[in-house]
Amino acid sequence: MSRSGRNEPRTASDEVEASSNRHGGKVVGWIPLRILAASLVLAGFLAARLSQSELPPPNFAQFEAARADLAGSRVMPVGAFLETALDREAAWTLGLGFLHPTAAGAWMSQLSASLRFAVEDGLSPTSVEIELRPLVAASDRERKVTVTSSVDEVTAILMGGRENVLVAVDGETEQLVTISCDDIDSPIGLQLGPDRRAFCAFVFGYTINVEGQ
Amino acid sequence: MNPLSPPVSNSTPRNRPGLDGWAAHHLVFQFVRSCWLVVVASVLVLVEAFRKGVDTYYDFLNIKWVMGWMLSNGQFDLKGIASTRKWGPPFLDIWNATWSSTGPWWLPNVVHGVAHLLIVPSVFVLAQRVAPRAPNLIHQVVAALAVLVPLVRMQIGTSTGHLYAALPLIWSLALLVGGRKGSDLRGRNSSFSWGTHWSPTPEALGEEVCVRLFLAGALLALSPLLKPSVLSTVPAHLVAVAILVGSVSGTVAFVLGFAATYLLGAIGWASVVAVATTGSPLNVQSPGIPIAGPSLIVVTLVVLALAVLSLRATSWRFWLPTKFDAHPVALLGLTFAMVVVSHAFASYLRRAVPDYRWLIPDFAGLRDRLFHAGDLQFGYLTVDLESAYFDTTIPLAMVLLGGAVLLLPLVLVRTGDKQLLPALGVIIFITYPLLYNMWATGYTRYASQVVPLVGVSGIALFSLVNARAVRLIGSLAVVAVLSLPMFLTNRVSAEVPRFGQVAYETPVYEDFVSAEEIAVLNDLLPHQATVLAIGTINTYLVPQLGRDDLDWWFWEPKRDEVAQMEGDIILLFNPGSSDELPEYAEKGLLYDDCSVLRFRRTSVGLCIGSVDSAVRSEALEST
Repeated sequence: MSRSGRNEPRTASDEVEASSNRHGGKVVGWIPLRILAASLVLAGFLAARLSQSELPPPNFAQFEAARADLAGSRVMPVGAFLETALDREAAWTLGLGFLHPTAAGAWMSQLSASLRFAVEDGLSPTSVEIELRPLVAASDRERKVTVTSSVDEVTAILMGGRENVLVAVDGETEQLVTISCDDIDSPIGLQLGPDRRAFCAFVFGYTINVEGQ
Repeated sequence: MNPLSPPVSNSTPRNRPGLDGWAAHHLVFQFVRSCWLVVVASVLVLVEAFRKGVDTYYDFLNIKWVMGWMLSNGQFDLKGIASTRKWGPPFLDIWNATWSSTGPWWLPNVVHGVAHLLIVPSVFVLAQRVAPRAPNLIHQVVAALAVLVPLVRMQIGTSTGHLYAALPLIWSLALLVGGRKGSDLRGRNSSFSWGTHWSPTPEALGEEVCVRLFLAGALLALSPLLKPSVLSTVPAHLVAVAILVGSVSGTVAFVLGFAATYLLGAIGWASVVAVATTGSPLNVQSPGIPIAGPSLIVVTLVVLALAVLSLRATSWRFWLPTKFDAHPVALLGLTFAMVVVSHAFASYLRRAVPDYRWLIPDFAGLRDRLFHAGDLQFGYLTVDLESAYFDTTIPLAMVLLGGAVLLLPLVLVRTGDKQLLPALGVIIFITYPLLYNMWATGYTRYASQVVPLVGVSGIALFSLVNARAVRLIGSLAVVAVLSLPMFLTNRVSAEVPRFGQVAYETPVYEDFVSAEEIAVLNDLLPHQATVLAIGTINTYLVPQLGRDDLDWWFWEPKRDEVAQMEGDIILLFNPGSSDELPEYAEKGLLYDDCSVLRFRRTSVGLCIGSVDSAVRSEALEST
């Protein structure tokens, strides 16, 4: 401590003071408080770490029941327009290739996307009418879309508005309908909006037609 | 006056036992009067953190949550999820993952908010130390603006990590400029409470200085230990250290403190990973450090030994000759050398930069980028951040940096000016990383940890002016420029966004995936199943399930790996990435009975998988 012109420490209190000065004066005075704060943070962290939950694995019956519930969620009423919007029951029939639904419907984000649905036993669906709108640029408003079922394939040139495409189905209670596009684009790429995700078309919903309707 | 420890009149001595009610009331009143804006801004940070809603930061949901959770559970075989990141310091990821994996949705917000609000008092103290002659209200406003500018506000309450990394940066700088107790250079006769630029004799650069500089360096190291990407901007900070410290020897102490602490934390962790994954600490590696293996261990041990020696060495044996140590030419030479080093790092980053959306092609582009205020271009294209924003901090920082560089030659002329060097050092320490990062990566967020400090650099520049009126007007101008986004709210990108959030448009005030939804998913994953997570934004489900019986894969397995898969197999995917499924089929992993769970806020695809018998046959034949 000679550089500050003070005497060397001689007593315990001098030692503490010298140590305090050595380590930055007030800094050392705060150390107990800092240790306390650090201990509290660490204790909170450990408590949070130890209280993390772990779900038990399902037994076979629970697994089977969950699969059955999932299949049941795809059973749809017939003859009515089924919105594929968020929180609507038909949203659960949006299969591979559809993004998470919005309040109005769901975007196809790939060249191909599928609708997987079922009807009550005893009913025989004959066709499905899908309502959709393609993402197109202001300059080039054409989008070629093909809808395929197990027995039919329909190709339509969509012009940017909200349009319907009708496709025949085979009458089985479980159906898989695939929608394919010739290309996908992003709104930011087409200078339509800030979204960077690539889309083909926006599906608002569909209607299942059955025999006799 | 330090408002955090307000002056007490003679009638109410600070340490008088048994303060009566009036004295206590007076103390509280004094405290509130001198820091009311700091208190208000701190509370606002907490409110803002809560207002943000559940944290759905893309990188956190996509990688960091599951990585932090797995590493904290001792699972180092990450099978594709951030396999190289595990070598870097994961401390903040573990911290964030822990808080997000327990308790109600708002718990992480509160934790982040409490940490982020510390920026306000920290900047307040720093502002006092940097410009003690500025009015207290200016100190407080600068501290408040540190968290209110849009580039900072958009990150409050989220797990981006830059605001955590800002704290040790502020503390390091505060320690660098912090005053020595009883220093006669402190106070109103000096703009700076000039702590480290003491008389550079060997006696002056004694233990106290050495320890303080070492601690400042160690604090700086906490920043990249918390947020590993900050390591890339450290060379830019080091540019300013020589002139901020005021001696070559002091710079060495600072750098040793930084290197020892960083290597201790980073290589200590990497050694644990090396032992866990390869059985030997000699296989250690760390992102951002160009050497690996035994050499890295040796370098770490040498740095640690030097650090211990530097703390134990007496000043006259350790430090350089006085005349050279603090000579302005030596300091400027060291600064210039660090500029060259930082430029080399920037060039390296430019070559290695993974995202060409932001990279600036030439110096003309750099100029345009540095002096824009973050608005959009070409309709919807953001310029240097994924979110649209309007913020004046970076253009202001560039003006301040230009001013500091112009004033640097004065260091050679005004050798007796004890305020000049530290003021310029503070400005360069804060603002140069923004320029450096913009040139190196072009991406604003990577240097956003220094954004809260720009106001301090502003008042540092004007603290050099002796005329009180000019000093005041200059500080007010800094405050006014930083405040512009709060007044010009009619611009396209003026709204402060929720940065990088998956739930972008509106905040969500509940769990992103509810407990009931997690239970539904849980029942669809059989006991001890192999689960292949495919595509982006689905791994955050792993820590919420919390199951250790499942064998998670985050990369596409090879055919021989598929052949060895036993038991139930589930392909779990983001429905937007379902076009990746055929690639798995090519590897012999067949899938069937695909469904998509349409939860309230997210969708999860599930297929039942099975191993192609041909792949099993191939494996049998090869053995």
